[in-house]
Amino acid sequence: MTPNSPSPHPDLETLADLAEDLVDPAEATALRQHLVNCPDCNEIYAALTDVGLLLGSLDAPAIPTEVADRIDAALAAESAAPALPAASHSHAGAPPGRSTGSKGPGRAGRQSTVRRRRLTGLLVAAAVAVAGLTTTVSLLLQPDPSASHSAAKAADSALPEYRDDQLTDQVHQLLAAQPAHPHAQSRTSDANSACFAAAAGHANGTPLATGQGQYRGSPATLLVYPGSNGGLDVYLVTGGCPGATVLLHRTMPA
Amino acid sequence: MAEQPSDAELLARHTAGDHEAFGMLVHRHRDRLWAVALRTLGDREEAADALQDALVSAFRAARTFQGRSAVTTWLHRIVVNACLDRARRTASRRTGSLDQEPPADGALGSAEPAEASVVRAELQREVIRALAVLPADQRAALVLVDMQGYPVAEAAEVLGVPVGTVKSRCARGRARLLPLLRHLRGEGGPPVSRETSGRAVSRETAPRNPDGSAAVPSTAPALEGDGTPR
Repeated sequence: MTPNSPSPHPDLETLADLAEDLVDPAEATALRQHLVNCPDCNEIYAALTDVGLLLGSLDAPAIPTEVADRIDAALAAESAAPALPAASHSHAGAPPGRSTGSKGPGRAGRQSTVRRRRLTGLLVAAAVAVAGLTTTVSLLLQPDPSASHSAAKAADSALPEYRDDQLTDQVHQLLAAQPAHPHAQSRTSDANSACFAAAAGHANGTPLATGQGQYRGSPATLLVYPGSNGGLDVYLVTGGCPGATVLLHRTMPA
Repeated sequence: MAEQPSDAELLARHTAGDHEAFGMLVHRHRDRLWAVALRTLGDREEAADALQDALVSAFRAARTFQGRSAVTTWLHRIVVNACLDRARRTASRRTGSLDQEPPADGALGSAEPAEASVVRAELQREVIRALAVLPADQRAALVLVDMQGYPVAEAAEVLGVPVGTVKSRCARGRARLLPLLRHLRGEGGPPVSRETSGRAVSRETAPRNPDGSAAVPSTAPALEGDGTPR
């Protein structure tokens, strides 16, 4: 408290409020009067303005390429996902010639929306981290043993055909054939499977099982994750890395 | 191509099933949205996650857009909310994350001659460290209004709070930043005598302005005053 000053010095917050016209008129008048007579406070008042100007003087950062890329990839995956909230009959990613309106997964996909959103970022980051590895696509699990040496990308007709109406059974067969320690297997994930996982929104989760096959004429990877309420979260993913897209997402009982 | 479609047109095309439209919309605004996310969160990975989450949810929620606000305002709202959610979650997990690691390169301006950009880079770091001390709500308000230059009314719409609340958050935020940034006034400024907080910014790294063209605005002498004259 300076004895010479005509009124008590306002504190910093009051001055900041004054600058934003947040002080009631009577008090504001008194404060402005004080500022006229008090160089210290006047200086602080000006400094508060400077803080705003300083903040405004900094260059805005441009989005880094890798962030832009992963967002593009996430949106591309979203375009192909059945959970797309499109009311119309055709929607992004749906193979031509088949209406998606009849499918249940739209709803089911919604349920996992929150979790997917939370995980997608992490997953994509994980996928990027793994993308440098050069291992070939590992066929972690073959629903059809005769196809065990086919490359993932070859649209090999020996691969199993995943069908909408049989998918539940196919998933359960896949799980039944799964070795006892899926975690050990997941370590062998290569760049492609990481991308698939990322596209499915599970990049940092370990799939319970994965399989290679075909879906509607395209090579597809089947990914099975533990779902909410003890169920299963099932994805069919296609495409390369980057750019893997989700063909189908369905939840089903374990 | 003829004229550029408006944001609202792109969003309408997206909801009608146009696969390209949303991507175009994102490309148009992503730099600004990134700046908001990075500055609000102060951490590159967190910002990238938040921005991605936000854009994916905007993609899905496009049909809920009512056209009462601009598309950009709507996008900003989703991004800012994602950032604030994340900031709150992070705050409960760890403390002081923002000054544990230096801001990544992405936080800095580019395309400037080395010297100037070094100085500005330091300045950016100082400010980001100082911002990290603020509550997330105040930081978000300052990012929108002071850093990104949005009108208070638009910031209020983005944040979903009354205009007066935005002003108040900005005022409180500036009041809190002042003691942390006072040393940025450059040489000649008195040492910061007050304990600002446990993690006062280090003065050794305070940028100098080689040519006197202050990064701090020319009215900066005021920055050297003592915080509270009492």
